[in-house]
Amino acid sequence: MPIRLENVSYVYQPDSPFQAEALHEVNLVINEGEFIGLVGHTGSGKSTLAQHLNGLLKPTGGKVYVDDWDLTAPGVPLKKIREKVGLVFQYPEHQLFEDTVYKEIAFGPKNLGLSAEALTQRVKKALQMVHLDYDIYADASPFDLSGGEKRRVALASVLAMEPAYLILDEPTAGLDPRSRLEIMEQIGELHNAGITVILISHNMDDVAQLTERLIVMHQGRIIYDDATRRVFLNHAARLKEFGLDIPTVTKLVLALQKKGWQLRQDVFTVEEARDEILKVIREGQRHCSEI
Amino acid sequence: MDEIIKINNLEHWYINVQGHNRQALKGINLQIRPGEFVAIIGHNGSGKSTLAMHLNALLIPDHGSVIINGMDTRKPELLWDIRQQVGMVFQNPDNQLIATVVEDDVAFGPENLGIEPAQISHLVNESLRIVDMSAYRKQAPHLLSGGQKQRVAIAGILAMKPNVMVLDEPTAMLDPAGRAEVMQTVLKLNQEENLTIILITHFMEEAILADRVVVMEEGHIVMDGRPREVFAQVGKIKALGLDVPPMMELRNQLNQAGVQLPADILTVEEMVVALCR
Repeated sequence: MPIRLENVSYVYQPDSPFQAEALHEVNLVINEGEFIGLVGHTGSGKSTLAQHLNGLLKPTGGKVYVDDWDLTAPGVPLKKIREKVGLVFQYPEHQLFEDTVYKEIAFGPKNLGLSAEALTQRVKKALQMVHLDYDIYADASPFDLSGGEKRRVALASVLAMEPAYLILDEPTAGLDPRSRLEIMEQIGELHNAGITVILISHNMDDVAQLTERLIVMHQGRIIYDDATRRVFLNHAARLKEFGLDIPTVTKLVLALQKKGWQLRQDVFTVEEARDEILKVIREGQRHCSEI
Repeated sequence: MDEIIKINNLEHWYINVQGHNRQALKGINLQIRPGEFVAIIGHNGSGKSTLAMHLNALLIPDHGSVIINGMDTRKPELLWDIRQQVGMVFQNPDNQLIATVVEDDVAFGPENLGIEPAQISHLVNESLRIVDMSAYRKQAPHLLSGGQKQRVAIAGILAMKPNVMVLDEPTAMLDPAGRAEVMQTVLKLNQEENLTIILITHFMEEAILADRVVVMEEGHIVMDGRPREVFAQVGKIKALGLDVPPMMELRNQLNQAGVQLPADILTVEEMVVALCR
């Protein structure tokens, strides 16, 4: 069942001098199984939007539906919804608080009334999903781990709730290159395992390589919502105007096209660029005049 | 000219709660000249930050020495002179700003150095001008963007008139616009204010802006050279698990397919020029 947003608006501190509209009449359907990138400048409303998807924030205008539950209706089972839609905040390791990794990950599912054995199974499975060995890590203090490991424990604590949807807010911010790669690979695996993933990121190289659909926000509105490749293909110049980056390889393709090279424009990875450039060179179509 | 930073055989151990020793620095030798812009890259746990904290005597060598402008960090009586000379900027701007108004925050350092009030006001003006934040001097820091906060943190260090600025992942928590602002400021400090810059970063596109890149791994310096020389060793960089700039990677793959290109291509512009030659 999808998540649906109908004309969702959100105003922070309404009727005060600090009133600020963070979302303006947003319409959106997220279907199960999708892998969506959500990008936009800081302050564009991405994180506010994410917090609407599991009822942490309720719209000041419009409706949010998760599995046909209207999140604004009185008596809606928010606990169920938060089980279904897992939200991993920025720097989730700041929220670690238990004295062992086991207790940290078991904290959520413990409240579901599971048997001790089922609880252990959940913890094991969640650790496995982030590639941490249960026997080594279960009894360790989360505070003795490296930054990348802490973040994976925090991710596992959300995965232990077995969410159908997973929203990740800048999951690789502040990590070193090796940890960044590991986390991105694991997110790819989670999607392959059937979890719907919504990835909020400033890293366009990651977004271009992983996601199938891209939502671009600007000043509280969705300005583009299309296949990721099509967004970069059709709107590269506009994205730059909005202060957003485009994949490095796309920058190269645009610069070469300016010189008169006939290149396919939907090229996002180094391998694709290599093949396109080789094709042009072999056909003897290397141009170098400014046009 | 004489080196401003001289590190000889520096070793450092950490002792954790279980009492186990872990050696974070295993004999570092490094000389840095005045006005150099040095980027230090490497994994978490490779020793970058431990090294940085030795540069203004936040950590004292367990073995070997660190000499800043002729001053040995092991001498307690030189501590404050060393810290005035070497300013540090950290990852999280929110942990570095303490006052409720931007200009008070920038004045905090010089006030503690016992400088005359009239002189402090001059230093604050000058520092805010350099980081291009003069318009925000009466603002509350918490209302600023991440990039602006980080620039105020830099101004606070500048007001103490240091010769060296050490920045430990100053852009890790910022968005692309904030990152660009901070890197522009860092370049300006180096080029116009003639500060010696030590930049610790995980972003290779920042490291390529430096004069020199030092790569650390497991407490050792494993590579040290101009960015072009360092990143041209694509295989070695990859083996260390670090990112290779995308254009360097593309250059390598094209080269393997028989296209002759210079070995030191780092940027999109350079790739375009090389392909058009």
